[in-house]
Amino acid sequence: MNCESNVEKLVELARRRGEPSPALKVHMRSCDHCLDRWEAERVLSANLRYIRMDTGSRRAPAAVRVSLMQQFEAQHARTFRPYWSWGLAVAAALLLGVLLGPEAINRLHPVATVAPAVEEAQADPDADGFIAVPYAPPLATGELVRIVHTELNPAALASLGVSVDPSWTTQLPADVLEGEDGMPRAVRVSEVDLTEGGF
Amino acid sequence: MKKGDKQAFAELYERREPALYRYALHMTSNAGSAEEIAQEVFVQLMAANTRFDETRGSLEGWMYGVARNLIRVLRRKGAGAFSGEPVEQVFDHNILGSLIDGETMAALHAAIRELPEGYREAVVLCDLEERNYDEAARLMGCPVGTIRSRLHRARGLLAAKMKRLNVHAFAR
Repeated sequence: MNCESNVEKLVELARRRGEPSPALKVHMRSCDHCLDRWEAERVLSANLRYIRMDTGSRRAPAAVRVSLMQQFEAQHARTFRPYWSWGLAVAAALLLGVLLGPEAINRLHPVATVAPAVEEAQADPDADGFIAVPYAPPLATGELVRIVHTELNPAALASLGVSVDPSWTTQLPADVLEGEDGMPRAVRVSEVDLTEGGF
Repeated sequence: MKKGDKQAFAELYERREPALYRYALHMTSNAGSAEEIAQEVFVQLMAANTRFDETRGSLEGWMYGVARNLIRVLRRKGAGAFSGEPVEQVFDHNILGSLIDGETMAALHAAIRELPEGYREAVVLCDLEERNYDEAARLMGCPVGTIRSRLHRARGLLAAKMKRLNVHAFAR
């Protein structure tokens, strides 16, 4: 019998808690090498079995699981956030536009204090009682202008070149003539008797 | 899990973590290091989730491969990198009560620890985790014959060492 192949068989038998075949037992009676190895393998298998039983229920602390689950949730929250954030940003922008649109348009006209009505016309700044705004660039021939009906306080009127009593505190109805660039070119005070009150 | 299924990740953890932790525990002989390695494997799995290619191998094989690399990194950093309690102290010796000989078990742990890495891995997977040769070969990424020969040589070294220490079995 070949001792090397016998040892291989003995190792596997010891691992599986098996018994040597009769032929192998006969061989071991006359071979101390195989007999010693057989005994050593049985002891080793028993001791390894004990370690296996001792450690079989071991696992990482529960805190590791908790930490990993939190990381998993955080990672996937990060993954999906851009989609949500983009959607929310677009929705917020649309809502803001709807709610603040008219107000924002009003604020484009620095002299307007109430929501103005706008009409478009080709007009001569000096016609119909309009007073030209000093230092304003001249209108081009045929330039489309618009008249903004609004209310202005005396300070705003003064800045447009209309001389009023500074003690006058109420808003006055006025028409502001704007060029295509939105700059005021002329202004007139309407529906008020400038000879009354503080004027 | 790739779609962010928390339940699937939890199930995978429950199925794979215990054996992976024990593998790391036996390979590092240290509970703290085993804990770090087991956790890091799952962290890397999360990171690699979208690019893991199951056609190139099993998920379990990939996870053991990551664990093996982490063990090597720790080993290269030196023995001090294996932080925490040594393995002999964390095992629950109350199970077999009076049958236990602490010195013998410490000697066997030490003998396993001194084995070359490949031999040690074969003992851990085949004898301590009861994997068959095919499974162990898949996890170690080598032929079945290699696992078998490594295990036999490792057992020969262990048996010789235990014999020199005059160690007997606790239970037969």
